[in-house]
Amino acid sequence: MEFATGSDATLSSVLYFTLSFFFASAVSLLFCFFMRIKRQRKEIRSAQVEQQWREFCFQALMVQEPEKLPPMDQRDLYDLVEMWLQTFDRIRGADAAKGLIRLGQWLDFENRLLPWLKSNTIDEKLLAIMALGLLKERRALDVIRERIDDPYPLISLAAMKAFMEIEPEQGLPELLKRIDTPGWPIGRVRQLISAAPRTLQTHYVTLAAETLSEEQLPKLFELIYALAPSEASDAAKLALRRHPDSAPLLLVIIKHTTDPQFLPLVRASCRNSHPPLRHESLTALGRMGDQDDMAQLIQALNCDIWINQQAAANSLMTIVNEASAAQAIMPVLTTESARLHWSELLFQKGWLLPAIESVWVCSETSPRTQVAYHG
Amino acid sequence: MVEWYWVAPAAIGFGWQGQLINGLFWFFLIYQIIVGTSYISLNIIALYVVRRSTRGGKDLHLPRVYESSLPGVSILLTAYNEEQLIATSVRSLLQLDYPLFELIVIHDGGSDDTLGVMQREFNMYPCPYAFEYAVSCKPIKQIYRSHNHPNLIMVDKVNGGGKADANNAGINVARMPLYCGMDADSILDRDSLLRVVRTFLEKPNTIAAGGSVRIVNGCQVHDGRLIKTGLPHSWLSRIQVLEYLRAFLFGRLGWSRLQALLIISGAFGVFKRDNVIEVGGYLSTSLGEDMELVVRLHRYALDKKRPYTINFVPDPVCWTDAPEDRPTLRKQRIRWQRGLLETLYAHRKLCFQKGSGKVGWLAFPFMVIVEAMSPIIEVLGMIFTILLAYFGYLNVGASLLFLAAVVGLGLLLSSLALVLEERSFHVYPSYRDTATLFLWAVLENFGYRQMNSWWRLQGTWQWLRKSESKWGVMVRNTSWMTESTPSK
Repeated sequence: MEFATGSDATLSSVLYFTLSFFFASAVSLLFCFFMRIKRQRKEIRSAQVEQQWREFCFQALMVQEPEKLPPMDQRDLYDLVEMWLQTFDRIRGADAAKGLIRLGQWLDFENRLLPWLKSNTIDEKLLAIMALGLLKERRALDVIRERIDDPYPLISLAAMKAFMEIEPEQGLPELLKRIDTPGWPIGRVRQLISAAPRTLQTHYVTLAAETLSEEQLPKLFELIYALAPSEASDAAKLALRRHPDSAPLLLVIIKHTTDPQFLPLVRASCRNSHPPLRHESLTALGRMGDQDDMAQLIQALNCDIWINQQAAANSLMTIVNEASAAQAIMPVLTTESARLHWSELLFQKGWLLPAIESVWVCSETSPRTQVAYHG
Repeated sequence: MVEWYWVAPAAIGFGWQGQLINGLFWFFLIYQIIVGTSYISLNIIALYVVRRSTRGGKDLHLPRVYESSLPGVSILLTAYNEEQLIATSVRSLLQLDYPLFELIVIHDGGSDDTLGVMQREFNMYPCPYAFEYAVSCKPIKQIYRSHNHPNLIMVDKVNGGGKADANNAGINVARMPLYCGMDADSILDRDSLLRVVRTFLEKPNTIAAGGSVRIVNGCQVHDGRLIKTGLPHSWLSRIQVLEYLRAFLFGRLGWSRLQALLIISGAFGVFKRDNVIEVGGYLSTSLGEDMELVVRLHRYALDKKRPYTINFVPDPVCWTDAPEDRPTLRKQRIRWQRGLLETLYAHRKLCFQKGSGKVGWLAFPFMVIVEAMSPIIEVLGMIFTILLAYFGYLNVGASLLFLAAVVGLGLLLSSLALVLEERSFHVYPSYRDTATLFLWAVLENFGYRQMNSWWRLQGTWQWLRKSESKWGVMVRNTSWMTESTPSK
């Protein structure tokens, strides 16, 4: 049996590939160890930086002039800025923030971090954007403004935050224009807006209610109701005048409103053909409704889709909220599903009568035929 | 003409037998090139995105996602004869860092004392509970709530339909907009749910998201909390650690980046409940119900031309118990292979379907060629080599070189998974652990890989014969788990 000829191209290729696979595997293993060594060294160095600088960070929160600062090694800049940012995250109050900003200025963070805005390393870029925003460094404004539209949400959000910190008056309208940016969760946008001065918030948010598109308005109203519910009603009326038939807008307003002026709208929406809107309206009746709404709620409990029955039952219980009156509703419930919803709530309240406990046995409801999608 | 792998004797020459052997050789070689290229491409994508996916720390300096804006999650924990692990799993899940969740344990009518353990440990009582059969499942006999934990619910259902049916029962009872499918032998890191739900907020079109699954064997879990990570002692589990690293760190991460993820592990996946109900829930006749559901979600959204994403988020980690004995592992692998084939066959129309994008033109063919067909090709390759050797046609040196190439490729993929692990989570802290895993990456090629291919071939055969689908009893190893208060 003879070994293959060395001249065979296939053999040579397989041989080279085999060698390169083994070589690359060995390099990968070494690279793993190298990364681990580097990481461990970095962790040790970070711990040292923290030990050296932590007290100055806390000192800066309380005193005007810190003790004589030790010289800063440029190699420690990343860890130091990281720690400085972490301290910012943990503190509350404008005075403490001022102290930290002073510390950053003493350490010349502005000049040291400006070149990092154009760094190829995302970590450095992020750190620079966040720190320069807190330092209100105007020289960084142009680059930060460009980064607001970065496709990486972490960078774009950090840039938006920094922009708002440096220039809130310009930043707020820019933010409101972008409220539906992918990767910007509503909770974060809300936080960004709430950091702006109150007068600016009121002005620009009201303006946005008049100018934003129908698609953007529901998100805006989620924000308005979370930030300033007292100012939401007027803005809502304004928006509804512009888009009276927008179900998503109506849904958000009904979901959050507690203003009795909207009660007729809520009642009317309980009969809307859009099930999610009916759901929010039935839920809203629990907050805003009264005895007059009981008939509508009982009807929904009997006839609506399952999830709306649940909403109707909860709202009905909130309105009734009395044992004998709640028990008296049971006989007027015509469907098994309605009775089950109601008995669950009665049970939770401890008002379920033994005579109607038979509805516990859920298996009496026959399973629906499987409607699997097979294209 | 390739004559280096086999030596053509004069009797055969390069006649039709020679051409046949030659053709077969080229087939195996090209197949191996496709496999290697696909995996290495996925690896490169994963290396590119892994830091992006795990740059969670910087997130802290941005405005927080307030707890009130997080959607509620129903955690579905299916339990079939899980009396050993159920209390630990439930305790672990009740400690999750998440503002609004309900934990629904689905007791799938097993024969052991799972129900009793739950009633005693968590003070559960039967109660009326409204739900609708929105997706098909076996009848639900009773629903229990806990006196101690208001967010703990237990569903006692008639057995049948496997995990898929149990999950469907859970979906019917669930009341939150998202649900998280879990196995009773798995535990979650405390912030796993927070991290995986984040993707639903950041990408509102997300309909499902999965997290990484790791092997818990060798770790220490006390009172449902992971307190120390480590490698398992048994060789079978160590190799599974490598398999999971490869599958989750570059496989799923790569496909997720391409927006063509076809699998979310049944051990840890979060779904939008409404979307799952819309497609009919889990298919109770499927052995690979987790993959089948994800493929169906893809198909449905593609057919309806709806914008959607299905994501993999690598940093939320779920720890699961790996089989430590061969019979249990064999059952699992046969089940996985059958599940894969069932799903691919049921949704074959998706393959190269017009408008199906990367899902139909890349991920689906990859699954068919690289994943589903691999046991057949590997075993045929072995038989081919043995036959050549038997008839004296094998060029031993060259075939050893070919074997070395296959081993080298496997080793490279495992090593790259270790690089990804070091670049992202570095769960296994010691150098020894990394070196041990590297060693097993070499050793798995001699025996384990062939055994695994053989089991998967058996799975393929059972699927072809349409043998009865069974989950079978899984032997649990609970040595990693300790409790302060022993179960009654």
